[in-house]
Amino acid sequence: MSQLEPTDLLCRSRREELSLDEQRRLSDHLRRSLEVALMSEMLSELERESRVRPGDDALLARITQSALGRPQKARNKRRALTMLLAAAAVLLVASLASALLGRAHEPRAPGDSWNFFSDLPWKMPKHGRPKTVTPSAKAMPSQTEQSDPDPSNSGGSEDIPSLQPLPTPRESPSARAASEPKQVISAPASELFARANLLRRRGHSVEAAGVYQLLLERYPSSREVGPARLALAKHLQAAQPEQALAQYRAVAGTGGTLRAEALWGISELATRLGRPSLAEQALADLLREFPDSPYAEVARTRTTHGLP
Amino acid sequence: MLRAVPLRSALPQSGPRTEDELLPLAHAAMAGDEVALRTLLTTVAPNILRVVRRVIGGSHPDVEDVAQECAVEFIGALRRFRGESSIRHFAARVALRCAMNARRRQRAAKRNGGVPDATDTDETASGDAPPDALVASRASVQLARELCDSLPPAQTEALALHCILGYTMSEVAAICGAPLETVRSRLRSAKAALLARALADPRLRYLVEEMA
Repeated sequence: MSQLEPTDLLCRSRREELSLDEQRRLSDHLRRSLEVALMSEMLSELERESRVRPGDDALLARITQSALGRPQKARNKRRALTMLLAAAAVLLVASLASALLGRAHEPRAPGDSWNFFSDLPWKMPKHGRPKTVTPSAKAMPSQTEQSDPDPSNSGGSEDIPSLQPLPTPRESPSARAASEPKQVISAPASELFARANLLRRRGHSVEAAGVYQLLLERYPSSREVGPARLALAKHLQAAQPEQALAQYRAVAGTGGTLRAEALWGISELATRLGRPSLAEQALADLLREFPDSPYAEVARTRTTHGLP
Repeated sequence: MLRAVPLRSALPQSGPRTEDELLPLAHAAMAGDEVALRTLLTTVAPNILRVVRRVIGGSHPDVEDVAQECAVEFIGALRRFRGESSIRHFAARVALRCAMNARRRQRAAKRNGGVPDATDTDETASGDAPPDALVASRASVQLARELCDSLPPAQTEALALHCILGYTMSEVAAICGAPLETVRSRLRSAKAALLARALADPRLRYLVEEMA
């Protein structure tokens, strides 16, 4: 077996894969080689930077949701384009066939040379080949008239789509439907979710909360509900802690990977609201169900030394 | 001196790899199975996030955006996956390229706008390390990232996979689909350039003096 390079030893030591002899060799290299020492410093720093941190569960859920939403949209667009091209081809063949059939049934005078292209249903140039029928952007009104809300699919534009504020709960459904822009109503859950995330990242937290709320109302059983509730709870926890608590409880009730995040949120909010028993219960559940969660260490400290 | 890193699951996986456990999932996803695609993405998303944090910085405000971009790239690139490496390695490579591109775009924007680097003091405030050591650690990472922006693409990829993501040379060779000797040669050149920069950098004096 060939000897490992010193920096390879370093990489493997990070995964605790070294034998005792290899560890000794690595220690020796670390004392003597600047290259190995430099890389050791780098890897240590990079491991700190890329460590798992609180909020990663929700972050990963958002990343997954958004990524799954985007290609679906692209696939749908491709499918629509394919169908349009197929329809254009069918029309072309049908018109050709009808022209040919019509011409074949016409009585022809002697010496009348039959010009195939002049009989086609569109106007031809006198000399040259027929123009090919290419579906232009104008031929797709349903796609062009509706603006694409995702900046990644609109030529890199960073514009945030304009959204009207969320209607108040007392509004009737019909009035609410009338007040909402069409593009929001027709947007699927993944698109709404992506739009809300974009708004939140751009600092438009109130508008983002409105879109999250809309998503929860319109698609209560969609996959995006959990992360949307968490995001909404985080937005609400400063001004409306009771509502935020309700959102956290809803997420915690569904289980799954977001439960740890929700339990942590409940403990934080319950502490702030002066409900220590609820906070302690949430921390106990968190520690019991997610002992390796990024929150577990802080939860243990709080359970041992008391709530802040 | 070595520092212990407890998060084993977040590190590159190596060792005797008989069969890629994610391969059936990837095949199902490629065949159009939405559930398989979702499961696959959920599985590799932590690796993608880790790569992004290492390439652009853990506290960079665009981590989420870039990670999303990488995840989309990964889904698109799955069709080109031919099984030369494991799915996790494939995801790491796709994420690395995508994150590097994002970093280059950000650098270009920064040159125009003059926005300083995002620095999170929490990242460096670790226990009992002396301030000089912390400065040296941070400077070494910065040097490597800057070097990645200026080296030829093949060297950059090898350097980033080895020195930034922590893959061994044989793993780098497998990920890049290149012979081991080629990777060794690329890394030799890249590490020489890194050392030259390190020796010239006053922030790394602490490290150089420790060696002396």
